[in-house]
Amino acid sequence: MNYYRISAGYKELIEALLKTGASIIAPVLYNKVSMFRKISSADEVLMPEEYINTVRSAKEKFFPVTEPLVKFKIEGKDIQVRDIEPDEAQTIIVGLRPCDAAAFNTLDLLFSYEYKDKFYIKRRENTTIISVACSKCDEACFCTSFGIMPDSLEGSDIQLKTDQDGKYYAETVTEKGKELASKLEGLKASETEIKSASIYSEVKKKIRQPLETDKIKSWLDNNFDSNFWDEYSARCLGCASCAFLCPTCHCFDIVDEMHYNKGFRRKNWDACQFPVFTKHSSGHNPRDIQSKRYRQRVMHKFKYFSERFNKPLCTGCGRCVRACPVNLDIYEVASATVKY
Amino acid sequence: MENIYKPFITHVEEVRWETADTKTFKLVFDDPRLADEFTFKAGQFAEYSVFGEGESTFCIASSPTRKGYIECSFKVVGKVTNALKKLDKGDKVGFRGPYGNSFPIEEMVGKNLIFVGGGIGLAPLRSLIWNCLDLRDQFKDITVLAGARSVGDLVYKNELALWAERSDMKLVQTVDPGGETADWKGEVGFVPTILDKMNPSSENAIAITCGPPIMIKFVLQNLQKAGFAPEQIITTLENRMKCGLGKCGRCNIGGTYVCIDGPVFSAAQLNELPNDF
Amino acid sequence: MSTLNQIVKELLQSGKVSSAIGYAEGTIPGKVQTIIAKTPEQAEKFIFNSFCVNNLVTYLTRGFKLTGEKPVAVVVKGCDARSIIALIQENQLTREQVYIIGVACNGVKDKDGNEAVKCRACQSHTPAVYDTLVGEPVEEKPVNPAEAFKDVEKLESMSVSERWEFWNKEFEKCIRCYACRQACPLCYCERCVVDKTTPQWIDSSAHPVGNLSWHITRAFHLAGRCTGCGECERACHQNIPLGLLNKKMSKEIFKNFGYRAGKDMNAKPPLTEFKIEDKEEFIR
Repeated sequence: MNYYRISAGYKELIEALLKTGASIIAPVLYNKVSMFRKISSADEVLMPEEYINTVRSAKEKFFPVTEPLVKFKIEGKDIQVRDIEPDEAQTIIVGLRPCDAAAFNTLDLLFSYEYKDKFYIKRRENTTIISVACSKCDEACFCTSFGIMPDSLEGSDIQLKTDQDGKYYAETVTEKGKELASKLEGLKASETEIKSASIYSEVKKKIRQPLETDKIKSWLDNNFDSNFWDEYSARCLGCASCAFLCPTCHCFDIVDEMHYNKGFRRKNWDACQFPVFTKHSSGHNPRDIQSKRYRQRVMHKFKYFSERFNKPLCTGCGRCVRACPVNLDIYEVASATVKY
Repeated sequence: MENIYKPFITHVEEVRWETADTKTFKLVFDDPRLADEFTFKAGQFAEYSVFGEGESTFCIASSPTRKGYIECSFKVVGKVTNALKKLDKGDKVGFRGPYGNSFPIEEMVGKNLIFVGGGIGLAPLRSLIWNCLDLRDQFKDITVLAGARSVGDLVYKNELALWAERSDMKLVQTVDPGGETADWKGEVGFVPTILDKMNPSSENAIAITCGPPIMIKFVLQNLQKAGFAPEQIITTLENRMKCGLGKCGRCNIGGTYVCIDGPVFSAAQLNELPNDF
Repeated sequence: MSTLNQIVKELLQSGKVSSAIGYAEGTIPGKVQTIIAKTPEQAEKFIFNSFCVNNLVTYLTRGFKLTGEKPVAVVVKGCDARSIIALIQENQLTREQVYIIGVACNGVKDKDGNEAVKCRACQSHTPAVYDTLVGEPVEEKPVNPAEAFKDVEKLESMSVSERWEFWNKEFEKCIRCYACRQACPLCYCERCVVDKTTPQWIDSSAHPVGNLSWHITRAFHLAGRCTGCGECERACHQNIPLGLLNKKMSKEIFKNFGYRAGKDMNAKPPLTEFKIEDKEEFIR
């Protein structure tokens, strides 16, 4: 059974999710910013029609803006170091867009290769993803450049879509999704095949022409020292909005913070766009000017990550484009490479 | 699941000031089982922490053939090293590691080895040098060229003296012009210049070098002039690091992470890297 | 805007300036890009419309090569021109290093398409200083000066605990992206205090203490220097009302020293000097 009719509406489905006792995380408008937050009532959520995508991505649910890794206490010469366990509550994230669901699959590769980051992995294992297919897009979207579509299933455990009559139905994608679906009141099993609305293929047509990522990668392979970088990054302010709002950016810092004799070692979001990101204690900085830092961003997203993991480090969600104060559009930059 | 960010605790057993701003610690794991069982390979590094200040990246400077302790040497340059400077016997140091790849010691078996170290760059080489000396009959000739800006800047002076005495290896010491003292018996000249003078043979040889970037650049040039193929030259790089395990995205040179793909690279591999360091 | 394009083309063609910084069409509606033109052919891309809210003066302090022999041309609105004056006051620029292309502005839009907050009480629709002016000087309509500080007064009327709650709720959203700092023309420190590690003056973590420390420090460092261009608030994607903090500081500075940043090229910012007449009521 892969398809379930939703017998009531979206909000009622959320109520049913809340009744399962799991931690429900959904898009909300919190103090004027759209983000993913834990909710206690369906009235808090943003309805799918109300957003193309949230300003903040959901990556902070598995990879928080700041989180403690280890805690320690110093008593004279003795130091006690204690492990910290990530919250392992059963969680359901609902309202994610397909680009964001796919982004989690990308982040999974990084946090679990060679060394397993339990802070990310444990939370991820205990989370079920319910995505909502996109019935709208805007000029910033470019998911199709990465083989993702308004109704892609990658990364979703369940996907909500509307049928030809505009009513929601759920498609279960994984075992986890099937298991959750079987527990939900508000979902009715249906024997008839559900006809997906044509709106999703219409939306796909409106999205910006897919980037030729293979050609872009080949260009990047050969143009590390090109003047392209100076020219195209000249207006970058180095503000890191792009990196922080991006659902696949993963760079972080590890810092110690003390209060009297107790302290934490924390993992904090960091960005290659910051001037001191690569600065050695000796004062030497391999990426001392903004063009080198911007080059690092584009290279990492379109070349380095895919060389290591066979996936680009971008899902075309468009948050960076919407947030950039100077409209430095990575889509524009990437497509300009091959024409340079 | 284990916490990959949680350090082991070691205590300082011995302290030695190598130069005015370079210090060596001999560290023993608090956990006796770990002290017995801990293994690593020459060339690997670790993240050493002062709790409350942070972590810093240094190589493991002792040989893996010596069990029960590890040694690290560092120059006092920043926040964490300034805190490490203040530590003494009995103080605790966090240890996360061993990380990274290692010197390809299997490829060196049966070959002549030339070690070229400048300043604190001698630290990672020292691990490998003692490793080879402890397994002496597996290798052919061993030559070490150790240099520094001045006599005062030479590290591991006591060991240099030991190596000078040994008949199963050749040691050449040098200081930069102007860095010699009145009673200096060694060479005077930049490391690459002295290397040129020594004219090492590339026949059945591997050269391993580490030091300031400018020294490495000229050493690489001179070795290649002397007939060494890029695959015959090994070096170890450093870059700003935080996690040490390939996730925080900071230490990459092009698509290569110094922490997991390195820090040991051959000159052939270096040639493939972009100018990002 | 043919006169703007003609002016830029002529400046670049004659070699009078090394480069020209201006606005160009964006890739998505409602956004404009910055263009840094070096050749006369690029002059045709320059535009000016009500979406041109960016303060381009920020580029003059972002490692831009101002030490060259020729000046850099920059398109400024009245509010932006104040930033240039403030930078000259602080010896970050000389007047000769900048060729100011002033534009007469009738107000710009914020990201929702409404009139930007900073335009409501604007009295500088025509830049106070320029080398050439595009458009006719705009006659300033009388504006109630209280209008400029209306939102600050609302905050001032709150009790201390209400204000504490208000700001903690706002800073909860802060993710320490430093877009506010990077977009600000007067945040030109080569190494910002928050990036210093020996010692770590301000916690870099995005927790309540860290965020509060960061924003308070930035507000204090801008006291008497902020020209109210609003870029910090515009750059903040978390909609944190940063302008309120800076406006409050401006109000206090004006109250105590009768000084506004970016008005008089020869004036010294009050926190950089000491005068005998300075009030000392805080010393008891």
